[in-house]
Amino acid sequence: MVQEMRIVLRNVGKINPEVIDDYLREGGYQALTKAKAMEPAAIITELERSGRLRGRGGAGFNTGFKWRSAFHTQADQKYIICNADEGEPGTYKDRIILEHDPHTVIEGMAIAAYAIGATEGFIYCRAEYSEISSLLEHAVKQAEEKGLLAGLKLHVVCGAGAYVCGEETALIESIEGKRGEPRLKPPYPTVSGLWGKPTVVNNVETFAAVPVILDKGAGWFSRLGAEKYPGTKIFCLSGDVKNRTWCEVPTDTSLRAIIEDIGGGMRGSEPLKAVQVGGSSCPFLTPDKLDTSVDFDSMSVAGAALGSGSIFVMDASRSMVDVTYSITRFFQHESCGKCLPCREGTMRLAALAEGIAGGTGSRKDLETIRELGTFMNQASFCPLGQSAAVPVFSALAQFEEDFRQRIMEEEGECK
Amino acid sequence: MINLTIDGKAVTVTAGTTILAAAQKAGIDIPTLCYLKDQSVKANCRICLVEVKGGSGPVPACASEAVQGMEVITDSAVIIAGRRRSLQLILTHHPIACQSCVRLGNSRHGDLSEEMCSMCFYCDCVRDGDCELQKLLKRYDVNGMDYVWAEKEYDSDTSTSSIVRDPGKCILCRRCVSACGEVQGIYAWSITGRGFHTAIESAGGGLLAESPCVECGQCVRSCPVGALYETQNLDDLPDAAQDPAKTVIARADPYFLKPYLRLAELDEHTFGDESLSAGLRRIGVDLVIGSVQADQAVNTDITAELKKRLSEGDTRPLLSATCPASVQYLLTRFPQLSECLSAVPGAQEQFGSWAKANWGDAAYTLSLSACSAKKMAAAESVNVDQVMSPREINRLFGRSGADLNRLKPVALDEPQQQECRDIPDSDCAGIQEREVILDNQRILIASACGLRAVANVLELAASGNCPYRYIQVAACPQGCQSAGDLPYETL
Amino acid sequence: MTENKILLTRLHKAQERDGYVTQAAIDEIAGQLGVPAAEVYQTVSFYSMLYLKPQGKHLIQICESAPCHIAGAQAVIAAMESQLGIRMGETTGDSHITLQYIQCCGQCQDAPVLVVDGELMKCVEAGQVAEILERLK
Repeated sequence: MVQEMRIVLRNVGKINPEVIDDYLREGGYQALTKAKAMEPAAIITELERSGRLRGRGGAGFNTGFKWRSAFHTQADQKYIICNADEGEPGTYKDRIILEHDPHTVIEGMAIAAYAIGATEGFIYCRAEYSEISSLLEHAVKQAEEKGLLAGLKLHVVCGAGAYVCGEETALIESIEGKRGEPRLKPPYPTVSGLWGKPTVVNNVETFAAVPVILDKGAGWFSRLGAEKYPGTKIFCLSGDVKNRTWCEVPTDTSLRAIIEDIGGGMRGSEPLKAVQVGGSSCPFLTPDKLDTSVDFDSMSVAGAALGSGSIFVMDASRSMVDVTYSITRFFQHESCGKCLPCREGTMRLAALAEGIAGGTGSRKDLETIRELGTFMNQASFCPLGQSAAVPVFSALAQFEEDFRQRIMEEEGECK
Repeated sequence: MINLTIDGKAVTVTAGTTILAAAQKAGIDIPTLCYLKDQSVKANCRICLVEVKGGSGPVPACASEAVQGMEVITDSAVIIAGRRRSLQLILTHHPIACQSCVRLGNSRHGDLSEEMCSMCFYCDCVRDGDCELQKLLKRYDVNGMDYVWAEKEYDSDTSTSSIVRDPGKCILCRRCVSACGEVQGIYAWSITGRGFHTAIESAGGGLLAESPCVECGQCVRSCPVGALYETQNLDDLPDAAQDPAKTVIARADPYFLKPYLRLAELDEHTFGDESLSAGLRRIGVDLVIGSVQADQAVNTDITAELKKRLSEGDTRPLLSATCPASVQYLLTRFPQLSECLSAVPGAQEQFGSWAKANWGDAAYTLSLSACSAKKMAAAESVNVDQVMSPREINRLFGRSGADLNRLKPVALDEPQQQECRDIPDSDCAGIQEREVILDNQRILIASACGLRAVANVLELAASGNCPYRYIQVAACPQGCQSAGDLPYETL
Repeated sequence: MTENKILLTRLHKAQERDGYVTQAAIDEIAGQLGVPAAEVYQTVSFYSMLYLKPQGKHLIQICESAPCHIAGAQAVIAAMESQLGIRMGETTGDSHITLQYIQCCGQCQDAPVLVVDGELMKCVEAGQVAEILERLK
């Protein structure tokens, strides 16, 4: 039976998120005090030593490396940004963190700000989480009143309904008052970010882990979970499981354990058909892959992705054609429209998927989908366009029968 | 210095050079659509993607810096396939009219002959095939009709006198938005919507005439396709030419000939004003008045005005009124400075009023110019009946069989008009000042090229602390040589 | 003050006040921030939750992302469309209700999800649609 290990979520059930004294009582803001007695460079080294805390937003980028880059860039102003624009379908982990313990994120930001030399920061919170924005503003105010955020001015900015703003440069553009369209990289935000200044953008879960790592030490953290992707990860279950709930487990836990032990297994008598881990832009896993460990690299080896940590379970009653169509509609809606491959491609993919789902698709359409998807993968400006076709390819490769059935039904051939 | 190879060719460039520029230096032509020099890099069309050996995937040449030892491949099978796919996707909703020959009914590149196209103008392509998209379609042998899926249907915006926008042809390269915003500081074009519904609209979503537009034409100049083009009228001139009661009098401004010759693919050393004159007569023009660049820096009439001002102790600057877009800008943003505008009209207006004065209503005055704003000026003037751009003349010559190769040059008619440099030329946008001596007084005058620079000098003039006694303003970034209605080197 | 520099914050306030972002608000905000009105307009037009036109008196948003889709969002959508006599994306003739798709709003544990006038409704079934609409009358 898998055991949760609540590190990021250590305070859940123990504190009232609206009362800063509760957080303080549980040892809150001590890590920040410890950090401020250290040299900024030493904090970054500690983070790097922790087996390289890798970003929990989906990209898995080395956090220490990011901070170090910003640390080294000379500028009169630097910024720290928390990406709370959680928009990946199936994902609600950042909401869970912020709902239960906003201060762990704020403390993490404060430590990061001190480490890189930022005096101003933003929490970019998706508009759909309006209650959380209020909670965050309240929490920031409380922390300021207690003098805990000396040297850092934090603002809460509400997004306005654009999944693409979860991409760090698009998020920066959004704060700057522009269309949320990704920027060319290089220059990287750590060199030239918000208003041209060095900026570190990290996910909610990444910041939330920082106080604990600093408090308990890098060595302790690096011994948890998988070797190359240590620590814990929060997972959120959705779809055809009994318990659509969330959990925090070490990164060497198996996918099966989470689905069965935490998720309670399948909701009905239908067996598991597919699991999509990491969000709509990730591949599907078939039941034979359930024993994969949920760390970033193992998932990648299994032909899937860890991504955001969402676990979307589908049972045998589901047609992968319908799921795929739903996913293509999502990307069509969320494409920013800047680059040609994604702007045109997401629309065409959705149109093709709609045809197949509706029974008017042809075998040639499947071929067109493959070509279009490959093109988008190679030519798009940013990861949205590059990955939009990934789930489609995965569905086509692993559930070709679902697609063929729809086409055959239309052509009237016998199976 | 950086050494790299592109398609096996070695080339050396300075640090900070893009792969695109390095390729240009090496004589390798990497195709582009959204890239335009003088504008910030967009990298949204993805046509210039190239492969770098050891890299993780194709990179845009316009946005990627050359690195020591880089091995770039610009024409691998994957890259070419990607370019073809990009072009196909553009075509899925591009007007069918752009993809088919009206005479042949359905056209594949193999069916069309360049020679035939250069003589035939039936398709009425507003760019006469001199279109960056068409060039790429030919280069990569992508035949439009195979891909048209659902044309986007829109009404054209013909609300201004000089600029037409046909949204159906827009490929969303965003060059116009950059030209109007980043370069000119006007921001009359905006990018609206998201995803597949992204569109370029005039500011506020209404008609162009309701936007901050002053018709400088830089958007027209930047458009790679026929989505933005100058107002074209090829009917009125032939009608007037055939009317025995009308005397058609034409005048080309000094910046007209070169762009026309380039469009017509005629050598500028072989063909001059007199050849153009021959062509004009061929299409029914009765008199062709020449114009030459005057030597003086400042027009005599302006000098008189200036002297009068100085003698009256007026410290406000005199502002040239020969650039219609700049005047429009002043009237809409700095109306309080209208008193500072010179009363001396531009050469086009002078020509028109001279012709009307001498021939009355019988005169049909035709001004040949690559300037968009001059069309706006003509619309507001009773003296100038029509302004035609190099493209319009090229098409009219083509339709009428006026082949300058075969026509004997004809001398221009008197009087020759002096075109003074009231409108400055410059290598780059900005303000330049110089001292001149007027009546033994040293005075400071300035010239401003580009609407941002014009805005700056007008701010200065409005502030009451302007050190310049006379300011020449030009809306276009390099002066009239960079006017709106002429072909533009993109790299 | 940085707060005042943030366009999104001002746009949210303007929309809260007027129900959508009016041209007057765009011009005013553009003037206050010292940016061209065209840029403000183009920003507003980009975001799903900022409107350039007035919406119906009540806004019903239904999530169509994959987890909600398989949990039964289609049935809810069909019921809404049928009972209101409009399709998704449309507003009723009397401007009373606007039906919109939204994308995943992070409540997948309680799919299918609706947002009615900004209020979240979880685990919605087609059978509840009549009651929801009744409350909005």
